Amino acid sequence: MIISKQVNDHPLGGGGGFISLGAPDGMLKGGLVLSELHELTPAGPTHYGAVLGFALALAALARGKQGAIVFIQQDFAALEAAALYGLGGAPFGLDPERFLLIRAATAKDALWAMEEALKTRGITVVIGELAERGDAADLTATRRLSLAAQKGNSLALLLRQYPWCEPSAAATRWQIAGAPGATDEFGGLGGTAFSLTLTKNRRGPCGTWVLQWDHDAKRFLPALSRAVAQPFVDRPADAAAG
Amino acid sequence: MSTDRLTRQPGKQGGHPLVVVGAVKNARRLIALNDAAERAGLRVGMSFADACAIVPDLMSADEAPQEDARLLSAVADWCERYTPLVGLDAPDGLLFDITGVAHLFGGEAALAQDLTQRLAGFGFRTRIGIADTVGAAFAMAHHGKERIVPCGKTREVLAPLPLAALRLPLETRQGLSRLGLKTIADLMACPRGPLTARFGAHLMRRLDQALGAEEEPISPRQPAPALSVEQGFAEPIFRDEDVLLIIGRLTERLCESLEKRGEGIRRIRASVFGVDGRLFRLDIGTSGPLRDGVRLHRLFTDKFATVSWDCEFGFDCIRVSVLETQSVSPAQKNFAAGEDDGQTVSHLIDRLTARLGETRVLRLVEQDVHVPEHACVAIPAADAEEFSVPITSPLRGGRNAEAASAARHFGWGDGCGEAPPPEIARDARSQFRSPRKGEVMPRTHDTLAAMRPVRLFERAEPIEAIAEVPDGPPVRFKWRRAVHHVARVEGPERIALPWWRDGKNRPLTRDYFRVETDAGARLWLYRDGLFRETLGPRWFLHGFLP
Repeated sequence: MIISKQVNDHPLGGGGGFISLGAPDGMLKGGLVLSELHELTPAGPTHYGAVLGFALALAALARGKQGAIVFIQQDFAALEAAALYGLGGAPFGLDPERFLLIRAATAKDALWAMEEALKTRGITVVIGELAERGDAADLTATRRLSLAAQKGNSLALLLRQYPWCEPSAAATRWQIAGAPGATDEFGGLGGTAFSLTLTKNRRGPCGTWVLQWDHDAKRFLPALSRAVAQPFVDRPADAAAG
Repeated sequence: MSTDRLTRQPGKQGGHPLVVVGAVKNARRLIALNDAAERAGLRVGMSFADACAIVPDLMSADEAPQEDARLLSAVADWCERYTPLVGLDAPDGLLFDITGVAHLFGGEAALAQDLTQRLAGFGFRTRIGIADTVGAAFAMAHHGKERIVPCGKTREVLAPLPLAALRLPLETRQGLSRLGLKTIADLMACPRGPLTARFGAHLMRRLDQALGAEEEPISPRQPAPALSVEQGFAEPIFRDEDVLLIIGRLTERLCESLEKRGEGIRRIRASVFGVDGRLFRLDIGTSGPLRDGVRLHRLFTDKFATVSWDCEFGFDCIRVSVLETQSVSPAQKNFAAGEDDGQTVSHLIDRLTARLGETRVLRLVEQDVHVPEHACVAIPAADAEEFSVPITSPLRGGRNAEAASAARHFGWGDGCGEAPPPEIARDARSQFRSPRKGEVMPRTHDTLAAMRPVRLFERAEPIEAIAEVPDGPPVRFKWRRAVHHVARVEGPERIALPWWRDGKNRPLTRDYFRVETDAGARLWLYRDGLFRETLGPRWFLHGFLP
C-alpha cells in the first residue's frame, strides 16, 4: 500500500492512472502513465502495422469502451505508411464508430489538432502521426502536448516514422517491431505480438520486452522468448532427431 | 466593360481611343470601345480595318471573354453591399433586386448615384436603370434617357424606345423593321396573334416581361440568407482583432433573433468588404444547430487564422448572414454537469472543420461490402451522427440487430444492391449505412474472424513477389526496393470483386495472404487475378497487420 501511495504522488505524474503492460510495469513504476505524452517509432518501414497496433492496444486499455479516439495523420505520413483502416480495430475491441479521423496537411496543423483534441472532454485517446522524423514536434511542441494531456486527463501518443534523437518532453519513448506470435493449432500466424524497446523513460531505466496481445481478454501477456517444443505425449519419436 | 478592364490596368491612360477586337463571322470587328474612340466616330460592329483607317493611331486589344467574366463576377461580389440578390446579365450587366433596400441608401435615386460614383471611382462607366421589371430596367439602362421608371409608369416610359431595348435576337429585330415596326409603341399597337405566328412566342414573352405581365425572376449568384446583419464604418478598420470583434458582435445579434425564432445555425457566412472593392468571405458550417455566440466566435477565429488577407486600405463594411438554419428544441441546462465550457466533441469537430476543411475531419462508417477498401469508408464528420455512448442492451437493437447479424453471417447483400435481397437484408443495410443515435448494435468481436489490417493503402502498392504457380503463397517479395523473406503465411482469402458492375471490364479476383516476414512484420499482400483470368497476375501490398 505504501508503494502505491508513493507511486501516485510521484512528481513525474501518474495521478491519472496507469496502463498495465505486464512485464514492463516494474520499470515504469506502475505502468504507462495515462495522462501523458508517449512517443512510438517503428523499427523499420515494414513495422508500421505493429506501431499502430500497439497504439490501438494502448487506446483499448486506456479507457475500455468509452470515449472517442482521435487519429490525426499528416498527409505525407498517410502516403508513406497508409491511413487507419476502421475494421483493423476489431482485435483490440475498437469499433469504427469510435474513431475520429483527421487528415492534416502540415505537421503544424497536426500538432494543433492534437492539442485541441487533448483538451476536449469526451476524448480519451489522441494518436498523432507525423511524417518522417516529425521535426516539428520539438521540445516546445511536445511539452505543450504533455501539458494538454495532463490537463485534459487523456492519453497522447505521438507516432514518428523514423527515430528522433533530439530532446522531447514525452514521458516514454518506444521503438516497436512486430514479433512472431505463438502459433495456434491451425498453423496460422497466431496471435499478435510486439517486440518493444523502451529507449526513454522518465520514471526509471530502459529495457526490451516481447509482449503478446490477447484478443479474447484484451490485455497484454508476456510472450515466450522462443517457440517451445511440443510436449512429449503425442510427439513422433523421430521429431527430436529431425 | 472590356475597355474599362484594360484602362484599369496600371500604366494605361483613358484619354486615348481604345478598342477591343474580336472575330465576328470570320471578320475582325470592334466588340467594345471607350469614350474617346466613340467621339472619333467609331462604332461597335465596325470592321477593324475601317477603324484603323479612321483613327490611324488606334490602340487595340484582342477580346478576352473569360477575363471579362471574372471581372464582372468580382464587381458583382462587391455589389453585394447593396443587396444580397445580385444576378449576372452576361456579358456586361448586373441585375439587382432592390426591393426593400433602397431606403437604406436614401431612396432609389440616391442609391443609383452612390453606385455610379463608387464604380466610377474604380474606373467603370455605368448606366443604371431602375424599374418594376427586369426587362424594363434593362431597356432603361441600355436605351433610356431617364434612369428611374416611376412605379406603374412602365408602359408610357417604354413606348418611345427602340425594339432593341426588348432583348430580342437580331433576326427578329430585322424582320420587325422590315414590317415597319421601329419602337415598342408600334409593337404594342399591333395584334398579338399574327406576330406570334410569324416570329414565335419569344417576341410577345419579351414584351410581357418588360411590361410586367409575365414574371421574370433574378437568379442570384449567392443563396439568399435567412437572416443577415451588417455594420458599415465611417473610417475603414485594419486590425484583425477589430474585424473579429465586429463579427462577434454581429453574430451575437443574430443569435438573439434566432433564439426568438427557435432556430439554430447550421451554416453562417461573414462577408468583409474591403475599401479597394475586394470581398472576403468566411464560411462556417456546424455539425448541429448552434446559437451560442461564444462558440461561433471561436469558430470564426479558427477560420480567420487560416486565411491571409492583404488589404492595405482596410475594410469598410462587415456583414454576417445565416445561410441555413435548423429548428432546435430548447434544452434544460444541467447544473450537475457543471459549466458548459464548450469543450465537447461536437464543438471540436466544428472547429477542426472550420480550420482544416470538411474533407479532413472524418468519421468511419462500416459498409456491408466485401471489397476491403469499400468495407469501411470515411465520411465528413460534420455530416455524421453525433458520438454516442454505446449501449449494449439487446432490447435496443431489436429486430434490426438480429437482421444485421443474420445478413452478415450468411453473406447477404454483397453491398451492391443488385442481388435480390430479402427484406431482412435491406433492414440490415440501412443499419450499416448510418449508425443511428441510441440504436447502437450490440457488437461482439469474433476472434476467429479473418484478421483485417490496421492500415490500408488507398491505392495498393505494387510489389515483385516470387510465389508458387498457380496459386501458392509468396516466398519472397520486393517492396520499395527492399527484399523481404516470408517466414510464415496465412491464406489465401479469396475476395471476388463485383463482376456484375461493369459488363466488359471484368475485375480480377484477389487472393489475399497474411504474411509474416523473417523480421516479424506482418503485411497484407494480394495477387490480383487468378491464372485462369489473366496470364501474368501482379502482386500488391495492400496494408499492414498488427
